[in-house]
Amino acid sequence: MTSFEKWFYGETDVLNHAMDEAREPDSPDHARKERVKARLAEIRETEQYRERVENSRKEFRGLYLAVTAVGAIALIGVLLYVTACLPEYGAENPHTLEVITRYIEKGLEETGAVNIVSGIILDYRAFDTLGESHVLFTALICSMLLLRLDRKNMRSDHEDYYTVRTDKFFDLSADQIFRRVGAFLVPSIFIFGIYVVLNGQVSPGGGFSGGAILGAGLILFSASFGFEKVDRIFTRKVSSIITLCSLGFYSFAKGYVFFTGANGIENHIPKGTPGNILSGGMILPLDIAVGLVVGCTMFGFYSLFRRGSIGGNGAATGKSSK
Amino acid sequence: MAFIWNFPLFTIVLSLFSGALCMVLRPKAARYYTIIYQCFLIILVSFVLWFTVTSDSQFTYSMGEFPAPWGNEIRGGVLESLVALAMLLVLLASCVAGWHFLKIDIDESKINLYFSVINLITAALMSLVWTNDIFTGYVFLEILTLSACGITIVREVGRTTLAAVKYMILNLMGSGLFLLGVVLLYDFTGQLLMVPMKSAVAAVLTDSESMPALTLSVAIMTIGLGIKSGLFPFHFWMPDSYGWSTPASAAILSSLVSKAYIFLLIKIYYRAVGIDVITQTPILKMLFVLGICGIIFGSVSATSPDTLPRMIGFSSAAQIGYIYMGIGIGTHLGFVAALFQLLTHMVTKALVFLAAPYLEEASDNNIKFIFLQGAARRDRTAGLYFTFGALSMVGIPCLGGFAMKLMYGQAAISDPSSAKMFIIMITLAASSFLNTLYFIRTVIRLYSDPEEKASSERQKLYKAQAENAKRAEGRRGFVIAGAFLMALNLFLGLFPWIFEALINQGLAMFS
Amino acid sequence: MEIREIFTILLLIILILCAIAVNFTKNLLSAVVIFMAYSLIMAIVWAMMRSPDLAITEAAVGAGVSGTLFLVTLKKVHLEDKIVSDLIEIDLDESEEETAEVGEGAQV
Repeated sequence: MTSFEKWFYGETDVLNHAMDEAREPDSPDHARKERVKARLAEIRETEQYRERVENSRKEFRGLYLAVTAVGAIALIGVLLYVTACLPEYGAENPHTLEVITRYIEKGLEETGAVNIVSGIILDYRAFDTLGESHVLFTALICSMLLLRLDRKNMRSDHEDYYTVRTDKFFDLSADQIFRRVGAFLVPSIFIFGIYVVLNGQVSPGGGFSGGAILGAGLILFSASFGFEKVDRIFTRKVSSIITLCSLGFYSFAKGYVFFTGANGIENHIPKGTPGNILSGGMILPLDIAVGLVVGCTMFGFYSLFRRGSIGGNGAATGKSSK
Repeated sequence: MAFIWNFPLFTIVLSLFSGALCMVLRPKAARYYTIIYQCFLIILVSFVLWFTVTSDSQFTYSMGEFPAPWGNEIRGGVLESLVALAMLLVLLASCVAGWHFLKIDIDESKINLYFSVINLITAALMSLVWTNDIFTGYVFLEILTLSACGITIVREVGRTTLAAVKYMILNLMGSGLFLLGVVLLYDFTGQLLMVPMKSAVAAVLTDSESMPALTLSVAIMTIGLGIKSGLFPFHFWMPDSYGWSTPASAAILSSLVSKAYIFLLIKIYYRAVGIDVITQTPILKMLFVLGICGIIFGSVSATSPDTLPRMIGFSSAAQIGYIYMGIGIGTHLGFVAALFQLLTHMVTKALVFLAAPYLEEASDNNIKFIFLQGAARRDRTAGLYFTFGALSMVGIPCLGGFAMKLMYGQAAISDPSSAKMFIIMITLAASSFLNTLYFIRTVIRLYSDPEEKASSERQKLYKAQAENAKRAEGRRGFVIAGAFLMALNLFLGLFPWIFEALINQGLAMFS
Repeated sequence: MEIREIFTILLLIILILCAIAVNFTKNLLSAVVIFMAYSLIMAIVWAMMRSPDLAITEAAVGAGVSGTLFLVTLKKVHLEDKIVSDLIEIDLDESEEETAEVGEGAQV
């Protein structure tokens, strides 16, 4: 074969290992793995195993497929029928005008936000957004309950916990592409994320979108430069304090607005001139709070998935830190 | 505008903040904070109940300065306060009684996260009870789903993770169907708040021929909530996820979480769509049939397992079937019976799920019946509580279960012309017989002498363990909380007319 | 029909094809990549329906963060090369491995 064909079929590496994505495992436990393999080979010979494999493939399979097919077709049919009965897309439906007209006509003057969507989610129907931020927080807590390494997790012998703890096996920071592109992209993503968060009331964007962008930027930063660099600024304490302060600020600020609004007291929150950055009443601070929470949560998920802790190696020493 | 009107807002917002706060507290501080905070909430909600009952009125509280169809709203009345108070009492009892097993099952560094999730469950339960808006109901339903998965996952045994994954997948499917229903209803009516939605639904129905489409949207929503609360064909996740989670979580899941979904469903029927519209559709008949199937199949399935938690899980499915049968009857008395069963089951199931693990622990952590024989003699308090719960579910007079079945009987004979009367009477008889079959059989097993001799090795081991268990931390909490739940059950059973009057008063102002 | 409507209908058909393809792909890595493509096309559909907030969020979350989390999960459970019909053997493998490691008489 010519050298081009050799490269095309993967038999030579033109880049000479400059793009390898994984290092060698640090301390594999060969003896234990050989023992487990031998025992598994023994088990596979037995009658019981073969029967189990056969049964698990045959049991009720036809019935499950039939019921699934019928259920899926029924659901598709029902949804298609109901959608056909709905009012046409884009047409004006006389029944549904009551709520929408006030949002569109008086949205700007009542909330002070040029972007009516931000006005609706953070002013008219702010209670739902309070719930939604806490949905994300709940998902983070449940991931921490499941994935965070603790003494019970680490007592099992089933994984090579040295590599899991340090996660060096999947470390990508020796990769040339990641370093160079990351050095350029990460600051741009952060600046864009901050721009989207701050401009929620003036242009499309807002807390959730900007927070997702900030989270994605943090993920790229940690993937390109390694976890040590991130752990210097983004430790577990920082993450907890940001989440607690943002969610606490959101709860109490909106609690104050609900309380004064329901009791008929005047809440002295200035609306500002529409179109400025400092406008829209509470929308700007709430956007910042939501953006910070969402960013921390997205990076928290990534960190928990990769190495079982947010920031630092608290679990590696086996001590339970706060 | 009394100051008491603000209390529901406090229960929701402060609970959400407590959830965030417990993440940074130390484990012990998180536990004490949660328990004291729940006592505080019980006081608040008792005031609201007293206020609404004595003034015989309900109040609407707008969240923010914008009035009804444009801003959000919550609403408090007799029925909401009663259900909220019952939920908070059972939640407090579960947290206190389950502490012994929480320490064993959860790693110490995660206990504050567990109590954070309990606070989020409190916020979601309160919000589902007080809400007056369908989309807010969906948002807090999401919080409740995720938190319920969280409290199941926390026990790090292999089977538990499998059960939690099964639970999560089915619940997310239910949430998806519920959201589809909400979106379709919004597209038809243009409203998200429940009271304006009722008038919009009436307007849409008079104008055009959209009854089938509207029925299908409400049916999609009903099936979504039915999947999440354990309606008949979708009940098979119950034995696994209740049986393999830590006892406090099992009590909270089985008594509170499914009830919140059913209460939201009843609220949507009364307030968002209208009972008169619903009775014209075949939705209630479908719920009636599925409820009866749930009772029969759940009870039949409960006779076959050979482990204790699975049996209790299947009996949960049967008891939820009772509530759906009550909703399916469609008359006012049917709803009263369904709501009474909601309260009774909350109290009874928590007691049974909290007592059973102590019996298992007294038999060296075995869950099979052959090892549990005689367990109630080794751990007398847990045996007493379990027997009490079992008798209540069978329907012995003076206990909650008997009053519940009496109300179902009254609802059945109130309409003697329909065929439903015979079906309900036969179902009540058959299910009582089946309940007796598996519950009393278990109780007899628990109290009879073990087959081996009393001096054999295993018996000596059990005796030594029972002595240790009596001195463990958290035992006193279990005894007090269990006695409290027993007292609530007796209260429901001995004075059912009080609760019937409260539920009637609440339903009159519910729509 | 205008070009805009034809384009929207084409995108929606691609969405349906992506959704069906995710189910029928045997290779889990392809399934994740098709899922990210689904999110991307959904973001474009949102933009065509004139909701830019949703488009930004869908692109960042669906095609960005959640795709990345899926890929990390696949890598961690060593499934990036496996195809679906092997999963039954894997399931049995792991439970047998537990028995082999822990020994008999252990209670789960």
